[in-house]
Order: sequence, then structure tokens, then C-alpha cells
Amino acid sequence: MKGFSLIVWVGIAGLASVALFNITFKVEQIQDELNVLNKQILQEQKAVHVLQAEWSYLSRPERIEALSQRLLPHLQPPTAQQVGNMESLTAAVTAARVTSNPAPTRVQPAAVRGTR
Amino acid sequence: MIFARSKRNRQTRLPKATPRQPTRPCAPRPMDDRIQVALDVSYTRLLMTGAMLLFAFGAIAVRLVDVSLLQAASEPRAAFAPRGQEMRMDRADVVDRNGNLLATNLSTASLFANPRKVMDPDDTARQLARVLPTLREAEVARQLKTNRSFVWLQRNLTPRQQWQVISLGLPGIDFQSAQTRVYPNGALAAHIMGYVGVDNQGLAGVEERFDATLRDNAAPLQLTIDIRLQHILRGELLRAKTEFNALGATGVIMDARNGDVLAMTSLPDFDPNDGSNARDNQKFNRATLGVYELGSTFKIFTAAMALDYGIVTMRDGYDATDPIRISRFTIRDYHAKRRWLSVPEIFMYSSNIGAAKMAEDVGGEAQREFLGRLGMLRPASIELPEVGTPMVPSPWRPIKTMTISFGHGLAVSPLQLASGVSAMVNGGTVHRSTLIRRETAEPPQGQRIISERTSRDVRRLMRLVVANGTGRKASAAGYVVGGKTGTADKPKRGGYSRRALLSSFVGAFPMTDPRYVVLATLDEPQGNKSTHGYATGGWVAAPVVRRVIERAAPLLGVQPVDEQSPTVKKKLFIKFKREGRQLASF
Repeated sequence: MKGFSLIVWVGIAGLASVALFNITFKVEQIQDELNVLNKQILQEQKAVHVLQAEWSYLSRPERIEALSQRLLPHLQPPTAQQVGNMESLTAAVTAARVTSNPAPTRVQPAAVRGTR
Repeated sequence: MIFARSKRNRQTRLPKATPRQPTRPCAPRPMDDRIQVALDVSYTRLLMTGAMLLFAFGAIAVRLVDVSLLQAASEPRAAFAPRGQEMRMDRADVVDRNGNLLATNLSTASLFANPRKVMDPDDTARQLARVLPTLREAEVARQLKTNRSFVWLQRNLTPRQQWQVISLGLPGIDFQSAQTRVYPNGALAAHIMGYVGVDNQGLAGVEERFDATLRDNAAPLQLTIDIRLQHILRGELLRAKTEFNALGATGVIMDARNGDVLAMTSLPDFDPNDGSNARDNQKFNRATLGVYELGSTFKIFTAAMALDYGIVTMRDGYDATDPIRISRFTIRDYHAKRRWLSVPEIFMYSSNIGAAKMAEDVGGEAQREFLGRLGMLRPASIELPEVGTPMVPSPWRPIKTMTISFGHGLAVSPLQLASGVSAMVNGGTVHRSTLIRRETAEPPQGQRIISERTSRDVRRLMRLVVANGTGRKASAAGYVVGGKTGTADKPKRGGYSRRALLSSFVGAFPMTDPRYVVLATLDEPQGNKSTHGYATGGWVAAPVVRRVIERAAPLLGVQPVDEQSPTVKKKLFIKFKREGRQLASF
């Protein structure tokens, strides 16, 4: 009986130590992975940072303006006449409809509503 | 000790040992004794050795558990484990109000050599000079032949150059990585940004003013600058500076409601990426460090002051028939009408005589107090180390009261003028001009200078100048621009030069509810054919402001309006007398 309980205890201690070592090494392994990932994150951050700097260099207004003048010669800065608002647009469309399509006045409100 | 223990062992063990070794009656006793002693000794030695081995293995086991479980579970990791997930930079970024990068740090490799390890200096130098064109072969060879262990060959290589040098595979050549300050937009906002020295220490501009913050903080520093507006302002000023062959130019775009500087340029400027090599003339910030007598733009303050103190009304006026002679000076009008002028007319035709008489009625003390409250008598509040102290006359004589009324005798920085004009048009409160973006959206508490009513009158007057007066060339159709021209004779030894002018225009838009103030100043512009030889503010600076507003207003989300619409006209309606008749204008 005494010998049996000793075997049981030794067995438990052995299993516990195996489990303990197992967990420890797993944790170590995961920690290594974490370090690798952290390193990668830092590297990616550095790469993103360089790309950001490069992007702001390439998208600086001076260069965009020169490119626009060379590649889009018909694109000009907007003038005040080219800027409108919704009200003036609706009015213009209504006016255009009235002149181009002299429909009976009763139909007119429905057509105007449809354009909105 | 050992001896004693073995003795005791022997004694305790003896009864057990006897059955294993039965005494032989035939064997002689002395012999038996000797064997017994030998056995005892060997037994004890065996036991001792076993105990020591057990102890040793026990210690190893304990230590094994200790190091593998309890203490550091494995090799020390601190050396190569990244501590956090955030990249650490020597110096924080600087961004504009929309988050565009204005300054950042990049890692670059610098090339150095250990001449003692270099095998063939001549060949090494030749190969290096081939991939790095800026290196001089002979110079490198001479450096490599020295008996030192470290020489710099070239700083800040591009990644491609570094790769090329690596692929040469030269012994004794190595790189050191360091961070370099980079300004992707180059000269665009040079005077605001400033620049850094070789050890990344701020030497001018925001870099110097916020040196400690940029070093300690990881968060980027956000400015009020908008690089799009900055580009527009710089581009238009550069164009005018070239067109009129001016010595320099400066301009400011300011948010009239809170004092945010949206764009600020001083020409000539420099590339902050190579700031240390810029000439003094380039590094000089005309917008904040330079103080100038800015001429008739000051009539805005004179008129506002006189109206607000109730000295004059919009219907009053002064006789501007004859020049004023005071001590050895003569105050005359540039656009002389030689008759009685109403207050709006004085403003519109930029009459020095009228303004001087107006200021005389207000009085020197009140004038100084007014300009003081407006911040014209102390250095501008701006987050830059380069801030000029205004040149204030002392004592404030009556002649100075008169000349300051039209912008001579008191020198302030262009930024101060923009800030003062903002206060005149925004409803009458002055705000601290700032370059640093605030966290909160709500406008800061300003200090009231003039009443809302006076501010409305000043808006009308400024609109009148652009609609009918000297500033017609600043009229950006649809944006209801108002403003004031200023043409100052530059001071020279013992007086003023009639040839060297400082031509300005300060405008605001839309005048119905001013949001932005735009200032353009050209230093010694030369008139040309297109301006019929004129180099005054109305001819050279007003068109700059017009073009800046035309390009910037859509970006700022300012809705263009029909300037002839009754609502706009009514808001800016003004009555002024001319030779007995009443004339209406807007």
C-alpha cells in the first residue's frame, strides 16, 4: 500500500513536471513568434513611413500642377461662374424644360418634381 | 570529520554486515579482522562517493528546474525583442491642417571606411567613385591611405547607392544608419518650417520654436497651414516678383475669424532640406521678422478708429485741396483731387491729406492707444523665433500721428497688418495669430477693438476701394472682395526714397461676411509695360490678391455670389458726396 501511493505520487509529480515543461516551452515558442511579429510590424511601419514620405513628395502641389498642365491641358482652375448651387440648378433645368418643351402648364409641376 | 563519521557508520553497520560475512572457524582471526576493516573502508568510500554524486545531480536538477521554469525561461531576449509596437523616431513629424506631411525623419545610411582594413586603397577609391559620382577619387584614395581606423566618406546615401556599394563587396567599408530630417515639399513653407542642423537640432522656424516638443513627443505637430493655399500664394507671389523684378515679396492668408495663418510666404526663400547653406537674404522671414512702413493700408485703421471713436461719420469729410505743410515735411496726395473729400472718398482715393486730418482730430494719445490694443506696438504673437519688434516712434509727436495715419513712421510686420485687418472686418475682435492647430473647433475668445457697427462700415469702405477705387484690380468676380492698397516710399538715409517702393494690397473676402484676409506685398517692384510703368499697390499687388482669391476660394468652400444681386448690394451700400451730389455705390 505504501509502495503504491509512492508510485502514484511519483507518477503525478512526473506528469506535472512534463506538463509544466511542455507549457513553458510552448510559451517560449509563442513568445518567439510574437517577437518575430513585433519585428515585422516595426519593419512594416518603417516601410509605410518611407512610403508616406515618398507619397507626400510625389503629391506635392508643385509637381501635381506641372503634371496637370502637361497631361491635362484643358483642365483649368474653376472660375466663379462654374460654381453653382442646387437651387440655381433646379431653376435652370426648369427654365430649359419650359423653353424646349412647351407642354401644358398642368403637366409642368410633375416634370419639375421628377428632376429633383 | 570524515574519519569520525566512517567510524560511526562502521559501528552501526556492523550487526547487519555480520550475517553476510559468516565467521569461519577455520580462518585465522587476525586475517578476518583485516578483511573486515578493508571492507568497511571501501564501503564507506563507496557511500561517500555515491552521496557526493547524488548531491551533485540533485543540485543540477534543482538548477535545471530553476533556470528552465522559474527564472528566464530561455536565453535573454531583451537584446533583440522589440519592446512596443510603435516606431520610435528621433523627431516628431510636422503636418499641415489636413495632415499632409511637411517634415519627417527618414533613416539613411552614411558611408564610412576603416582604412586599416582596406586592402587596396586605390582600387577601392576607384570603385567607390564609380557608384558615387560626388566622391572625388583622389581625395578618397588619400583618406584611405591614412593610418586611422575611421573616416567618413559620404553622408546620407540613397537606398540605391547603398545597395550599389554593398554589391561592390569592398573590405573595410561600412555604413552607419542615422535619421535625417526630410521636407518633402521643399521650399514651399520654408520660413514657417525652418530647418535643422546636422544633429537634427532645430535652427529656425517651427523646428527651433518647438525643438523640445518635437524631440520628446511622438505625436505629429499639426500646423494651421494648408499646403494647397501655401502653394497658390507662393506661386502667385513668385510670378509677380519675377514679372515686376522685385527684390522680395511676402504674403499671408489668414482666417479672419480665429487668427489661423493658412498660408505665409516670404520670397526669396530656400530649401529647408539644405537650410544650413541658404544665404541670409533667403533665410530672412519678411512676413514676421521684417518690419516695414506699410503705407496706405494703415488708413483702414485710421478710418476705423475715427469712426469708432465717433470723431467722424461716413457723411463727414475733410478739405483735401492743399497739401499739409508741417515742420519740414509736406503731406500730399498721390491721387490728388484738390477738393473737399468725404470719408469714403478719402478711403477710396487713398487721400493722405484726409487721413492725416482725420488722425489729427482723433489725437495722438488715442491713436497710440488704439494701435496698441490692436497689437501694432509690440512684436507679433506667432509661434516662430523670428519675430520683429515694431519700430514705434518715441516720442509720439503730432507729425507722427499724421504720418502713421497713412502708414509712415510706424513699421510693423506684414503678419501684424493681416491680423489687424482681420480684426477690422470680422466684427471687431482681434485674435492672436497662430500657426498651431487648435484641438477645439470653437473660435477662441478675442479682444474687442471696435464695435460691430464700425466693422460693418469698414467692410463697406474696403469694398468701395475694390469696386470703384484704387484696388479695382483685386476684384475676383463672384467673391465680393474688399481691400486697401498701400504704396510706401521706402525709408532711406535721412528721408524717403521716391524710387524704391513697398507696394501692398490687403484684401478680405467675401465682404458680406468676411472669412479670409489675403495680404500681398512686393518689395521694390519695377513697373513695366503692362502696368504703364506704375509699381503701386493697386497695379502690382492687387492682381496677386485677385488671382490668389480666385484659386483659393473654391478650395476654401466659399460660395461665389452674384455681386450685382440686391441682397449683396444692400449689404455693402454706401453713400458718399462728390461736389455737392449724392452718389450711391456698393
